[in-house]
Formats: sequence, structure tokens, C-alpha cells
Amino acid sequence: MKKYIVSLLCVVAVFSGCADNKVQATKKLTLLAYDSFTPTKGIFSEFTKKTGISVDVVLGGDTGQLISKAILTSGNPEGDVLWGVDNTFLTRAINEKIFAPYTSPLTKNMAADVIELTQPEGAVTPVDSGDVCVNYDKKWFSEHNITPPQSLADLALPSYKDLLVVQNPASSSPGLAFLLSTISSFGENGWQSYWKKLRANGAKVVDGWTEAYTIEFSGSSGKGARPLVVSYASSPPAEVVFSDPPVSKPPTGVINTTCFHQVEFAGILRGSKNEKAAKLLVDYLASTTFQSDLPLTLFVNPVNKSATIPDVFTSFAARPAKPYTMDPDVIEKNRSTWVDTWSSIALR
Amino acid sequence: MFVLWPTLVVLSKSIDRASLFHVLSNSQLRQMLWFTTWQAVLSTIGTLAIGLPAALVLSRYSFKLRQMIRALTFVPFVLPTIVVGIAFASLAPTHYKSGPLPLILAHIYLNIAVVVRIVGNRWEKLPTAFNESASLLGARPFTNFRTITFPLLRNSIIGASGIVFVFCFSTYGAARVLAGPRFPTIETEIYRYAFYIGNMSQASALVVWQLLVILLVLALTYRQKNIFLSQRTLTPLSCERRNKRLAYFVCSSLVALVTLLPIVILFFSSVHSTQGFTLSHWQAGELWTSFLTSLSIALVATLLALFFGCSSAFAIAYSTQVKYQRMMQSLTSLPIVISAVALGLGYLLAFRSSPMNWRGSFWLLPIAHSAVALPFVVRIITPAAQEIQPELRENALLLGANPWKVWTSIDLPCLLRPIAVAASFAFSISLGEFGASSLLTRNGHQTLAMRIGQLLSRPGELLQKQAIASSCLLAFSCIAIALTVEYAMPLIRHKGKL
Amino acid sequence: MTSPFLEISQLSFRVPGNALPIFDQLSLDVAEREIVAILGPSGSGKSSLLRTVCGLHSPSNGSITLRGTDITNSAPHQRNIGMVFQGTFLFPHLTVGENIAYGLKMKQFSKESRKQRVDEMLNLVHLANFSNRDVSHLSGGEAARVAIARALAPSPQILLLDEPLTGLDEQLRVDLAKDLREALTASHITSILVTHDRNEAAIIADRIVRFADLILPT
Repeated sequence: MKKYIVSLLCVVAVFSGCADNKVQATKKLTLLAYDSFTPTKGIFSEFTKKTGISVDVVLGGDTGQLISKAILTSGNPEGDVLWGVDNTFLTRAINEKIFAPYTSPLTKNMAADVIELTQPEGAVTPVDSGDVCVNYDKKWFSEHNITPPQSLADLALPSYKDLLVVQNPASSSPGLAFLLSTISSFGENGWQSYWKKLRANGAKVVDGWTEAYTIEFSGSSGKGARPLVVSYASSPPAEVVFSDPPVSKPPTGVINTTCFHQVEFAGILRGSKNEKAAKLLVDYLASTTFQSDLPLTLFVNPVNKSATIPDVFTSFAARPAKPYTMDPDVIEKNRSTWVDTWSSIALR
Repeated sequence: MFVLWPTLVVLSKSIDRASLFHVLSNSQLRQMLWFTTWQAVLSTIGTLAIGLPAALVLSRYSFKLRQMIRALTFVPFVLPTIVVGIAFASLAPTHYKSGPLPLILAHIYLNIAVVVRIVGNRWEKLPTAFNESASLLGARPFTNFRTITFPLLRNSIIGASGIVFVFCFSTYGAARVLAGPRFPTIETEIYRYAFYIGNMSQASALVVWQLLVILLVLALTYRQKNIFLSQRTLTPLSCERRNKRLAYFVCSSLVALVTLLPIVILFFSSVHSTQGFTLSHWQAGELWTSFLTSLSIALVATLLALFFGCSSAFAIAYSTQVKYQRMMQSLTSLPIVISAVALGLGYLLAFRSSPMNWRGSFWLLPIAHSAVALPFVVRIITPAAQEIQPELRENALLLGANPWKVWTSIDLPCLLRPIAVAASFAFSISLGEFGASSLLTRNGHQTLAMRIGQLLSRPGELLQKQAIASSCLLAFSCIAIALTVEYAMPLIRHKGKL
Repeated sequence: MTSPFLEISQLSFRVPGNALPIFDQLSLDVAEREIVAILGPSGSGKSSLLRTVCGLHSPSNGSITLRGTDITNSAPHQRNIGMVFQGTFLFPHLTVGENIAYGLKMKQFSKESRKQRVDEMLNLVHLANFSNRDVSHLSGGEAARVAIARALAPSPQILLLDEPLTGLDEQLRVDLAKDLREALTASHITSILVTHDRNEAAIIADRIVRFADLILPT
């Protein structure tokens, strides 16, 4: 046993040695993000050149995991800046005081409705937006000579029986967004009966986006059985950019009237030792350079109006005219009740 | 230490009594516990039903490709469960894509290796003369199995069932893909409470209940004493009767087919596009960089796991106090017991302040992987170390060897094979580990398993195909490792004799 | 002319896949209640012969007839032939008594008669009161005695002994050989003993043959 302890101590010593040897010549920032944060490689070198600050991107799971971990480590964070809290989680993050309030001055370049979300606390800076919408398999509908559904209500019609797959809002962020869509659309008193109809009409619930889109959905790689899936307004351009073999038109389309508007934010984590530098990084994330990179890497809309958007994105990504939205405070207040009620309707 | 401490930290921070009992009083949670339990029981029974004949054929009879097939049974075990889930879902007919049945089938597929390895290892040492004597005394083949083979293998069968049950009880990836939200299991609920509802105390309460059940099962299925059978692995028999030979051939090819089918399907879809054959998905640069990352992490993790595993195994094997042995045994099996969520969060909280602020550092991954692999290493090496007869060591001492010499000249050669097997296990586990590492925050270096998860979480057929190619690469590496150990081992033993 | 009790004729055995047979064209007749010892160096194929006779190996050629019935192709558990293996192989999870009773159980003996028969057998091999012993605590000589008792208990038609005393020390072997002879004659059982020890063969057997002589010269 003694040997065991001694060897353990040795290992510890080696590790702490490693930690100490990191000489901090240049300033270094750690950017925390969700797993699917995949901007162009080297996108931060311009930032480093300008400011002398290097950026270390660390990934920490999906959005839910990221927020939960940030809450657990509130005040002693794992990084300096966090990318990826969205409007469905924003209030929780703010209530748990994980952020040191900062809103980039670049927000003046953003749409009013986006800026509004950060008020009155001014805790975070909006960095991208996107819409969660029902996608459909174009080929399936043309082969079966059926017109795709036009609205949320259509999804409950008998002609679309057994065609839809949705995600569990208890474990998936698009799933939650879609539930919020239906709540905004049918109101506090109407959404339950809508979901009862959806269930009776054979809507299938799976746990996450991957299961729904890559296994159950007929329009992508999985070649599943269902031609309607809850995904993103930007999924069609992704199907073109990452197509195999190359195609010029997306195999999928978006039903514009089913969308829920999601905005993602970046914020400085409270307890960061480099708050000043972190502010510069947040500014960079909201800058034209970085924002122009987003459409074809993360498949989200830039929020900075002066960012350039590539053609393939503008022509294929849906831009729903009136997506559903909801106040983050309202979401936070009702989320767990809604999800519980939903579970008892759609699952039990 | 790398396991216990983080877990204690996370539990002590968030546990409270009310939520502990809430689990029992809430009908939905009770239902979930019940489902988790019965699917685990059925999965275990199914795994035994298929694993035992497979273990018999693979450990007792010699035929061409025997080692190859035995190595193959390990591949599902180390593949990330999400990949297995997707392969299963793509195989299953539409109406059986989700629900308890596909989940149970996937569990059987994943765990056959456990039975083949644990029971097979003992079966290899069971002299045929026992069964032959019984047969000459008038025992029919089934009676023979029931009265002789089974009692002599009972401990290993019970031990294997215990481990399989624990794996199925704390299922996560397969449950998410295959059982679906209508059938939550305890681990998916822990995950949901911790990350989506943000109710840490409820999540911790579930972790505690999970821990209790698993510890109980392991305590019930753990057997200290084994009837000593034979020091040596017996030479496998050749089958004499033609119909028997045919039966074994069919049986083993079935095993091979079942194990390989999902992988073969994945492989074909990775090299197939609507324009025909293509290797482009295998040429994505990141595939090979992440493969290299995986290899280097696996190497470090293996070394760490071997170091800690061997020290614990020797501590257990050479100690004379049963109490101490038991304590070490249960301590080292903790990583199997503790939910990946608890482990991941524990790491987050435990290694956050100086001098151990290693969060986000490259080192945490191999450490976490080695913690996951540790129980397997200990379980493989301990019995082998216990079987070395003390007389051998004493003889060497009397011949003038110093303790270190004794260890290198007696123990090490005897343990070379189990150590190699343990190393291959640790390496493969590290290659495929996804659960705990996805919860760790880590910088740019992506492992293959993480890359698969990331690719699968975005739309675009190209990315899906690349994920499939990555899964194949993972599967092939595991096959390669298993084969190396199977085929290289006889050479090492031969050298030892010289 | 009546046929012999056990008739082995023109028996050949080869391991599947091997070109050379272990033995070829081997013939041997054994009379009822006769104790025959087959003598030969180790590795000559004696054990394979016994294993073929009791059905653990199937011959590539030839026939085995027991009491006028051809048993060449019947399964081992149907032949009613007893065998004592080199190394005894007592079932390690059973007691001495349970080991001896195993064959009786297979033959559906009642509990009463099993108990009686076990005691009878233990007396026969001079191990009275050993019934509840754990087999792992037996000495080599005791284990050999139990193995003999276990094989004799279900009253097989013929008993095969494969080097039953190998591995025991010299003095013990002589004593055991005498006791074995006594037990075999007392049970009136036809037996074939295989050994490389001429002394042992002389004490136990009525007739000694050399393994090499059984094979038809080519």
C-alpha cells in the first residue's frame, strides 16, 4: 500500500510539474464551446495577430452539458469566454450568475429584436441566430404526389399520418424549440390538445437530433421511413455543402411556418482572470470577420448585419418571415412544467 | 483515487435526503427503475444464452480461424455504443427500430465478449476428462453439462452475468438510440436531470440508487474462491465426429457473421456512393489526425492503466488478509459502477483548483480512460497472479535470487500473457471511450470516438459518411489489436521456454 | 464356438487430419472376468486404444463387439463401460461419496440403494468413513482408490484402467496394486489395464500382452 501511495505521489508531482512549466509568455484565452463548434481552422490567428492574445478552443459537450458545467463551476470557470448559450437557457445561466456582464459595442450593428433579448441585464452578446423548423424530404413528397404540410396544424392531418419524427424536449435543444413553437402557436391552453392530436397521428419521438435526422428521417444519409423531421432552417444548405455525391439543389426543404427562432450568445465567464482580454475576444466573435465565417461552418445566421453571407447559404437556407419567439424569462419560468406536461401527453 | 474522489466530491455537493426518497415515491421514476431492471435481466439472460455456446466453441475446439473469431467477438464491446445503435437501427425493420426489443438485442451483441472472455478463460482450463468420466458413468450430454460443466464454471458464469447486468443496467448510448424517450433508463434519466432539467440533487439521488443496486449485484455475484482446475490452458480439441464438426463450424460462423455484419454494412456504406466505389471518406485529413490522437491517448491510458492495474492486482494477489483483498477488489471495480455522468462531473469539480487545476488539459483524457479500463486490467491480472504457486517464488529465493530478480524471472514471465491481454483491453477501451470523455472539457485534440459524435450531430450526408468511415477505422483497429494479442502470444510463451 | 466377451477386431484409429494412424489393424479378445494387462512404452497409443474402446474416440476402421453386440458406433454414455483415467480426475465440486454415487444417480438408483452401494464400494477400496471428505484433501493413493470405486460402483460390463497408479511412489504402488487386484476379483469384473510397468502388470493381471504384439504385422 505504501508503494502505491508513493507512486501516486510521483505521478501527481509529474503532473504538477507539467502545469508549472507552462510559461505564460503571450496572453492566452480559453474559449469554451459546444461540441459542434467547428469554425474554419485558424480563424483566430487574425485575432492573435492583432492583439497578441492566443485563443485555445475547448469543447465541453452539448449546450445543456456546457451550461450545467458552467453552473457547477460558477465563479471558478473552466475558461474565459463561453460560446453557445441560447435563448432557451439564457435566463437560467443569468440567474445562476455564471457571466460577468458584458455586451459588445458591436451590437449596434445588430437587429433590434436580437439586442432586445440581452436586455435589461446586458450580460451577454448575441453571436448568431437560427431557426428550428420542420424539414421535409422533397423526393418523398413528389414521389407520393402529396403536397408537403403548410403549417403546424397540417401536421396533425390524417394525410400526414406516421410521417413526422420529433425530438424529446427533455433531452434535445431542437426538441425543446419545437415544443415552444407549438406553445406560441396554440397558446397556453391549446398546445396540449394539439400534441394529443400529433401523437394520435403517429408522430414519433426520439431522444436527440442525431437519432431523428440520421436514422429516422428519409431525406438524409439514414434513409429512414419518415419524410418530416424537426431540424434547422439551415439544414438544406448543409445538405448541399456536405453532399455526397455533390448536388446543386438540396434534397430537403423547410416548412417556414413551423419555425422557432433561436439566438445564441457569447459571454465572459465570471471569475475569468483575463476579463479585459476576454472582452476583446467577445468583440472579435461579433466582428464581421468571424461572423462571415459562421454560415458555412456552423450553419447559423450571423447577427452582425455587415457580415457577408455566401450564395449557397442565402439561396437554400430558409428565412422564415415570422418565426415564433418567446421571452427567455417566460421559457425559464415554465420550462420544466411544460416539459413534464408534454412527457405525460406524448410519452406515457 | 482518480475515481473515488471526484465522485465523492460531486455527491457531497448535491445530495439531499428528500430527493433520495423522491425516487421511490414518484411513479414515473419507479417505472423507469423497473424498466431498467427488467431489460437488464433479460439482456443478461440473452447474453448467456448466446455467449455460453460461443464460449464453448471458441475455447474448447480447435479449427481454422478460431483465434480470429474469438478476437472478433471483442469488437462490439469496445465500439462506441452510439455506433452500434446506429448500425442496429439501420439493420432493423421499420417497426422494430425502437423499444425494448432492439435495446436488448443490442445489449446481447455488445456483451457476448464479456461471457466469451470470462467464462471461456475458465472453460479452457477445464480438463475434458471430467466430462469424459461423467459420460462413461452414464451421463447424457445435457446431464453432463448440468452436473459437471456448469458447477465447475458456475463462479465464472455468475461473475460474468454480474458484469453484464451492470453494463446493461447503466446503459446510456444504446438506450438513447434504441429504446427511445418512451423507455428511459436510469443513466439517461441521470443525464436528463443533470443537464437539461438542471436538478443536480435529483441526479445525484439517482446516482446513489444506481450505485447501490450495482454494488449489491456485484457483491452477490462476486466469488472469492474458485476450484483450482489447471495451471495451464489446455490444448483445444479437434472435433472427431463429422456432424459435431459441422455443428461447431455453423456455430462459429454464426458468431463471426453476427459480430461482423454491422461492421461490414458500415464499411460498405462508407466506400459506397451513388456514383459507385469511393475512398474519399477515408481520405478526410481529420480522420487520420484524430486517429493519431486516439492512438497516442490510448497508449498513455494503457500505460497508466497497466501501472495502476498491476500494482492493485499484485497488492490483492500477494496480500494475505482477505479483508484487505476484498477492499482493494471493490475499490478497483468502482469505475464500472459509477455512472459516466458522475465521473465526468466529478473530474470537473475535483481537478479545478491549484495544484491540480488540470481541467481542459490533455492529461485528463488518458487519466479518465485509464480509470475506465482499470477494473478490467485488475480483473484479468489478479487471478493470474494468484495462480502462481508460492513454491516457485520460494525456490527462486533459495537459489539466491533477490526479490526483484524473483519478480522478473518468475512472476513476470508467467504474467506476460494476462498483461498483454489486459493491455489490449485497455487500449481498445480507450480507443472507443465516449461517455466519460464527452463530459470532459478538452481542447482541439479530438479522438476518433469524439469525432464520430461530432460528425453525427450535424446535417449533411458527407459528414455522416465520414462518421461511418471513422467507426470502421475504430472497429478495424480493435480487430487488429485483438488479433495481434491472439496470434503473438504463443510466440512470447515459446520464447519464455527457451 | 462361442464368441469372446469382448472382441476387438482390425481396429484402427487416426486423429482427423493426420496422415499416420495412432494404431492400425489392432485385434484383441478378452474373456469374461479376465484381467488383461497391455504393456508398452508411453506414447505408443495404449491410451488411445482404451479411449476408442469406451467410445471417446471413434475408430477409423474395424469393430468392437461386447457380449455379441456391436458397439462400435454407440455413444459413450450408452456403453456401460467404466474407466479410470490417469490422474484420477475426481469431480472437484463433489465429495468422495458424491463422486462414487454419480454413476448410480445416472442409472436412477434410489437414494437408499445409492448410499448402500457407496459404503460397499468404500469398504472394497479400504476407505470406510471417507464418504463426506472433500476430494481436494485426499492423498494421491486415496484419490486413486476413490477413482476405482467410482468406476466400479455402477457395475460396468468392463473396466478400463489407464495407468491408474502412475505418479505414486514405489512402495505405495505395490500395496495399491495388490488391493486393486483384490477389488477387481472380488467384483468379478472383466478388466483391461494399460501400463508401462511390468511389475504392476504382473501383480494385477491374469494375462499380460505387449501392445506391439496386438497389431497385425504388415
